[in-house]
Order: sequence, then structure tokens, then C-alpha cells
Amino acid sequence: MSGTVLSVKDLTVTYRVAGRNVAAVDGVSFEVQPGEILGIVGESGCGKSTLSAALLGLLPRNGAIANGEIGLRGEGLVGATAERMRELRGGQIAMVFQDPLTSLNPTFTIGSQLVDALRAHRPGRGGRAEMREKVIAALSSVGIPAARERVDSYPHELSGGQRQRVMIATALMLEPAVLVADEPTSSLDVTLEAQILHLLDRLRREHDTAIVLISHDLGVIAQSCDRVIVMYAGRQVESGDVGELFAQPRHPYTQALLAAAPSLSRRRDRLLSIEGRVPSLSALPGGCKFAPRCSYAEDVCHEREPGLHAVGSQLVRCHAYARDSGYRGTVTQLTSRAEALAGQSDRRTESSVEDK
Amino acid sequence: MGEPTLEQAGVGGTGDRQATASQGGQGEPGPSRPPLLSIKGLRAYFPYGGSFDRLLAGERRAVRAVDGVDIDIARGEVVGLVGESGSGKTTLGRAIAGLMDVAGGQILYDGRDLTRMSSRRWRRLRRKVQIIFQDPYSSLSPRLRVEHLLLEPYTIHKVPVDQRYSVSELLGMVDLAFELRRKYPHELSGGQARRVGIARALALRPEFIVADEITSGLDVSAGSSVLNLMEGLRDQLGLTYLFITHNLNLVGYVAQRIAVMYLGQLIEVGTTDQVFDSPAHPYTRALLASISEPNPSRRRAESVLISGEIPSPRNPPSGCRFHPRCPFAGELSSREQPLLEQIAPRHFVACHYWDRIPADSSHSLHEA
Repeated sequence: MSGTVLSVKDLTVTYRVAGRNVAAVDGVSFEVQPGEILGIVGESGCGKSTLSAALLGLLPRNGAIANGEIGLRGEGLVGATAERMRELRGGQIAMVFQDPLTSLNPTFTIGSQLVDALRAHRPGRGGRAEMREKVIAALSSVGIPAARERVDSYPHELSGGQRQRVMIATALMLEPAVLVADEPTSSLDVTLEAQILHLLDRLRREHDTAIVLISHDLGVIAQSCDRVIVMYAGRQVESGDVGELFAQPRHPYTQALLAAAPSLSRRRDRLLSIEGRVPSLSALPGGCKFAPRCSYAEDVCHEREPGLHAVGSQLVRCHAYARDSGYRGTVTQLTSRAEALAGQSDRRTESSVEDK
Repeated sequence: MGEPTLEQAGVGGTGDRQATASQGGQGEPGPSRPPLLSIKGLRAYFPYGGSFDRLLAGERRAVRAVDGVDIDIARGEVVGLVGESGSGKTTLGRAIAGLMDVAGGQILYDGRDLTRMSSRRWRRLRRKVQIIFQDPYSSLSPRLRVEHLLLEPYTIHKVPVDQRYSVSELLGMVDLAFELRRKYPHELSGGQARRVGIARALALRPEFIVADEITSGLDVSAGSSVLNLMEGLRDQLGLTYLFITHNLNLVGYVAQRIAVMYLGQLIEVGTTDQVFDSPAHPYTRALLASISEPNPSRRRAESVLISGEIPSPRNPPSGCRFHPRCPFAGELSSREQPLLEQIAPRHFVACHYWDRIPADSSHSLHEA
């Protein structure tokens, strides 16, 4: 795969907590091609933000890559020096955070920060004045009104949506090979969310940027991504083409997640929720990590952790899809979303009857 | 005809949403009984700038966060109040809950005007109107255990002992385990903290609850279960909700009617089906078109998006406040402020040109 810009192989990230190592990301593998948007979706605590920090070499002090490889255009990032990571960050692999205030320096104007970024990563492309013009052009291309005046604003003078645009303008200017966007729209209103997602789409179309889009919002994933990885308790539990995975989710967790996602077109149904909670990383169950919450779990699910099995074009971490796992139920049982959640709570069924 | 009042359409279907939503319907759905809450011409302002600014300006300046809102809410009804940040929806909710000084207009609760009430009577009535805040961690004292947090409203409101729920009753109402009573707020998950907030509001046996973004920041599943809890409580306790949210995907599940707010004013009010299936205001249409539906086979086109952001309420545009962003603005739009007019039973819109906007391509993404 010569086209691959970012490849992650068997990545495990651990945190040192109270004298013990706990794995927040466990054996995750994926590849991203130029111009592709890969979605990573899961609830809080599933390890998606740890994954993004690991990709950028920004793990906190108590975090470490315990195993696996990260390749950026063929260059191994695990074990790269801090200096090399600083060179790559911004220029080759960039990040858009949920709250851009944390990544913009409050004491400098937007313009001077962007010019600095340009000078650091793309030296020799003209003088300061010329670069300032490039910055203004980039700001106005992401829809910042009156960019020529706005360029001299401080971060706090911009709205949340405008700050997010500034981050994307930076990416447009520097043309990094990979952009990691971690919940880029979670704090924005719907109209801004839609605008920002379209900017990301433009970035990959016009600059062939490979984008890793991390979100807990299935709507955001469905609207933007080509492929998606569903994470649970640090593991990928299902992955595949976004259209196929949403049309036919195989893993009981994916099915439950989709059934719980509110949607305008399904508003007359009752909202479903998944019983129980995401397990704590320091007290993970022995077998399948989802088994305690899964309505299809059998003995084998509590005993052995399933591997990733290919089902059609999807990869699913579930015993029900393995030929000789000892799981006695059938696959057809899991293909219907409604079925996956039926019997989950009798109380809900009753009250939805009362509604009518 | 003069300005139609919302009273005519404000009330009625407290029951089945599907039935009340049928648009054709019989004539005026006049109110069979007075609304529980009736808001008339409500205005609520924030002063802004420092005292020095105000000195220079020579007068007290104000942000008109809520600027002339009329709406009626019937007993047992759930009204969804939607809009973007800066629309004034939170301020409206706070004004109803008595946490905001009102600059003008009336808030009639069960026929009595809350804005002209002695503070003693107001305090007693206020138990009946409770607000649940969006950020539970900032509204729960970090030094109190759950059991004390739950009983705190009783001390504040000096509720006699025989009118109090017990800690275990309150925890039971919100589906929380009794063991949680000894925990501090930081030991709770987001969903649990929300439930404690809900239980605190329920402690005072309210009739009307303002729920302000109670699912924001929660995971999909936790959000759904909080919402289902709220629905169950409404059925059991006969509550009435004003459900404030920016999440349009969610509000359809709980609300019977939707009010859309933009820069301090309501621009469209109708049943949930009217607003979602046949939105009349260009802003409502734009909002709906912006929703990220969890369905990859229904992606929105870039062309349907509105540009720009909601302007500052310090300096609202003239005429229709949406006109600078509106693709359908006509010459009246910048000159004259459109008032809410009735376009179908229970369906109101504030737009000069609503009937001249092509029945439309942008919305086709979201037909039911």
C-alpha cells in the first residue's frame, strides 16, 4: 500500500495509575489513505482521545506507547525524538481540538501565530508581509468575515466557531499529510457544525489530506466519514465502510449505539439506551469487554476475549461471528437493530405503550 | 386583522402528538382551559460594559437577550425551545424560573403574574417552577454528599418535614442506587450527576420544569436514558416541561410543540410535526438542514447551509433579525419586524415572505 499516509499497527497505550499500568488503547490497527476521512467513534472512556494524543506524540507524562507502531509516510513515530515530533507536528500531522482556545496562544494575535506557524514549517516561502497575505487568504477561505481586520484579533475576541475555522485555516495553509480532528464540532451549534464539517471535506478534496475524525456523535461520523472504527474499552470492536456499517451493524455494541442515536426521522420511536456503564479501565471484565452489557452474551463471551473476524467487508470483534468459538447463538439473531435491543427493558416497552 | 395572539393556538393537545399534529384539522383550536404558563411580551435584558463604558455612553446599555416573547404552555405539555447559542433561550428559561429580572411583559402562572408578586408569595409559588441546569457540576456544591444535596432545597425553602420526600424516595424517582447517597459530586458520572440535579428539582414537588440542555455533554446512551427518565417522570407526576436544547435530533422525541428562537425572539412555533415536516421560517429550514443525521445515505448538500453566525444581540439587525443571513429576504425584511402570524391551526411564523418561499429543496433531506 504505497498510498497509505498513516498506518497504525497493534497500538497499545498504557497509563501508569496508582502504581499499575492500565491500557487505554489496546491493540488498535488501521491505515488511512490520502484524501480519506476515517471516523473513530465511541463513548467517553473508550480510548479515542488517548489514541489521538498518541498519534501526535502528546501523551501525558504517565502515558506511554507500550506496543505497536505508528507510521507517517513510512517514518516510524514510536520512539521518535521529541524534537523530531515537534518538526512533524503542525507541518506533517496536525490536530484540531474540541476547544481551539487550548491550542491558540491567548497573548498573540491570530495573524502572528499563523505567520509563525508558516515560517516554522514552511520557511523560504517569502517574507513576513507575503506570509501575512497568505494567512489572510486562508482565513477568508474558511469563511471568516473581514479577514483583513480579523487577522489582528486575539483568540478570545473570536467566537468558538471562528476559532475552529482558524485551526482549519492553519491546516489549509500548511497542508499536513494527516489531520487529526478530535471532537471538532462538539461545542458548536448545528449550523456551525455543518459548516465546519464541510470545511474538513474541502480540505481532503482540495489538498488530499488524510483525516482522522474522532467523535462520539454518530451523526457527525455518518455525514463525513468514508470508513469508521467503533471503539469500546480501548479496543476496536467493529470497523468498515461507513455506509455498510450503518446499514448493517454487526457487533451488538454498534447496534446498540446506533439504536440509541437520536435522529429526526426516527423521532416517533422511543429512544433506546444501553444498560450499564462503560467499564473502568482498571477493572475490565475477563472475556469480551462488552459482555456484561450485551443481551446476547453466552458463557464463552465471559470467558474468552474474541478476536477480530471478517464479516463481509467489516471486521467484528464478537464470538457470534467466529466459526468455532463455541458461541451457540446464530448470526441472524444479531442483524436486526430492533432485535438487539428488544427485551432490554420491559419498563420502557410498557411506557411506550401507554404513550399511544 | 391585528396581531394574532398565541393564546389561540398555544394550548390544546396535551395528549397524543400524532393526533394534534394533523395539519388540516378543524378550525380554531381555542383553549379549553387556561394555560398553566402564559408569557406575554416578555423582555429580559443584561446590562453590558463596565461602569466606565456606561458613563461614557451616558445611559445604561443593555443586551436584549429576550425581546418580546409570547407563548402559552398547557398543563402536561412538553414544549421544546430550540435555537443556537446567543438566541436567548437560556435567558428565557431563567426568567420563567424567576432567576432573571424582567424588563417588561408578563409571566402568568396559573393566571397570576409572577413579575408583579410580593417576594413572599413568589417564594411559595416558585417551588412549583423549577429549573434543571445544563452543567450539573457547577450547580451541585462539591462539598456536599448526594444525600445532603437532595435535602438542601428543603432547608432553602423551609419545607415542613411531612411534605418532604426521603433520600431513598428521591433516588428511586431518578433510578439511582441508594448507595450513591454517600458520594460527592466529583465521584458521580455525568449521567448520575444529571439525575441528582433532576431529583433536586423534583424534591419540591414542582408542576413546571425548565430543563436547560440537560443532555448536553453526555454520551449518546446516557443522554437517551436521561431523556427517557424525564418522559417517565412526566407521565407519573403530571409535570409540564419547557425543554431547552440546541439538539434538534433529540427534541423531537420529547416535545409536542417546538418554539424556535432567534436573537431574543420566537420566529416559529408549531407542533413538532409541523415544525419538522413543514417548517415555514427560512431559519427553521436552515437549522433542520444543518442537522447531522446518523445516516450516511442521507448526507446534506453544502448548498443548503446558511452562511455566517448569529449576530451579537447587543446590536441586532433592523427589521427581521434574520435578514442579513436569509437567502429569501425581500425589501420589507430589513425595514419592518415581522410578527408571529398564524399560518395553520397551532402553527405560527414570523416572516414577511413565508408563503412565497419555494416549497423547498433544502428541506427534502429530512422528510419524515
